[in-house]
Amino acid sequence: MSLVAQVGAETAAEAPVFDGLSTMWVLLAAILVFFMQAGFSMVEAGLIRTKNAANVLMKNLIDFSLAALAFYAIGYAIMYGTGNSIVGTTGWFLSGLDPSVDGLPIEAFWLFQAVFAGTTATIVSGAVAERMKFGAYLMYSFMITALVYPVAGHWVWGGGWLSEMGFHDFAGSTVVHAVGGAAALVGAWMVGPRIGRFNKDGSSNVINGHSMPLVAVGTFILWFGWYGFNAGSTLGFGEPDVVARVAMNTTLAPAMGVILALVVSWMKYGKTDLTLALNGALAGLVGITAPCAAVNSGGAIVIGAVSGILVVLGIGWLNKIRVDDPVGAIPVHGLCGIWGTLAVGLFGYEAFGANSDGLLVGGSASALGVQAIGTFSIVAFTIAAMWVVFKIIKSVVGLRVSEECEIKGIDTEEHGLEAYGGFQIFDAE
Amino acid sequence: MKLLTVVLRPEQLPAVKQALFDVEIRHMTAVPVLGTASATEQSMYRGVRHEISLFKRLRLELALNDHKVETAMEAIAKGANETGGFGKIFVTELVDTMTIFSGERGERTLK
Repeated sequence: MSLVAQVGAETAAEAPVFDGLSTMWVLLAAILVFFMQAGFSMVEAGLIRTKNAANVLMKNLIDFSLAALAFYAIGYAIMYGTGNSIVGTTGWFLSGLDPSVDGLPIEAFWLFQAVFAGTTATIVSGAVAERMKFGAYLMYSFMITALVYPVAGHWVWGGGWLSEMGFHDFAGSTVVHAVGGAAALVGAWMVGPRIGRFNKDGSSNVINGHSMPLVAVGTFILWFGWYGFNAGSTLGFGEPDVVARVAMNTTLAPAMGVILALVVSWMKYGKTDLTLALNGALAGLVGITAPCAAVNSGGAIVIGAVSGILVVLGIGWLNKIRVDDPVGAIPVHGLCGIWGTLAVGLFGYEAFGANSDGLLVGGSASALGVQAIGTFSIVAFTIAAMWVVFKIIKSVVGLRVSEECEIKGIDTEEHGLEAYGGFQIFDAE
Repeated sequence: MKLLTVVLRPEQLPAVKQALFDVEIRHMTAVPVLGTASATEQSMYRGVRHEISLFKRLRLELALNDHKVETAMEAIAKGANETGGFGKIFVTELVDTMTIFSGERGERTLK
């Protein structure tokens, strides 16, 4: 084995040998994850008013574009460069790196990681929609993809201190979603609620989303893209059984998330709210992201069920603390991201790649402890880092559009166009 | 000449339009509008209760010569009563009209 590995290493130095099937799979998965940008765009545009729809599309476009460039120049080196247990320090602009990462061309591995950075960044745009300045959002996008996300990523996936502890986050419930959700919480809290969203007595007003078909198609696109997000996180096709298990769990958890979000909203509010049911799908997807490989189908169903409950309760809780999150990004990505990460310590199997068997499947609480340390330290780091980032942006350019701009709509005021020009659609017989 | 301004619920349009067609009145303009009602309605969105005070309504506008006004009002009432009996008709004097294509003015322009 060691002789073969040595010979292999010598050969690799001259002409690296790539695994074609694995490369194909990871590139395909990266392309699926890229398409999630379209899903986020549609969900967010649909859940806000027409006067700011073009603005949120612009934010989704620009945060991915900045993410790709920032993650190429800086982010990748911090996340995957060799360095210490806190940050990586080699590979700026991908220079001087080994051309092969476990049989994948570095370009394929980079692309897969870059679309993850883009996903993290774009989570926030919905939570701060309809009132954050475009310039402020540009600065935020660069900071999270160049610095904040890569540091958290290094801790877990880049050989940092959490990976040394045996923390298990297969596809990023914490690294991507809890980071995005925590950044969304800080952003939405600091920029403040939309005008008219809350009353002086603490009660809430409704600001209706303008297009349920967009929210629905966006959610389906996200679910579709999630097969790349989770099943692609195998980073290869050497173990088809793992890929298949991940894909199955990535179906069961969101399905159960929908059912429970529907039931809870039905019982609590007397209506079967489409937007909450769709949020339930995303909640289940976020929840299963960390444990997608480590749990069996029963675990996936329970994880999805809890996610569906958490998202509906979380949306109610945000109203109570007067944080305005028009799309539910904070409960979906933040709460369910933390839950999914903890769930590895409850339902994960050592035989499926978890560090040890979970507490509810015959193991001890040690795995749960490591999961809790990991997810809460990353959430705490993100809240602290994003608090500093948003404070700096606030003092340099300001976070929030003027009251006049907010009332007239950011589309015309900042971008000089409307999402829907001319007369609006109406139906009559 | 009179201008009839009719406020209806959208679901009443097909019956009212048909009743007008039945008495050979074929020229009208329908406009989607919002209107208040005597009571508000409670609704729920993403777990937050809210009050709806503006409802989808339909405004129908008809310019008619005086001798057609009674026929039109009866037809509108007939159609509206088939579909819940909601709505109101406002009649106002029409000072002048013009058909843009021919330049004709006044009563001759109205069918």
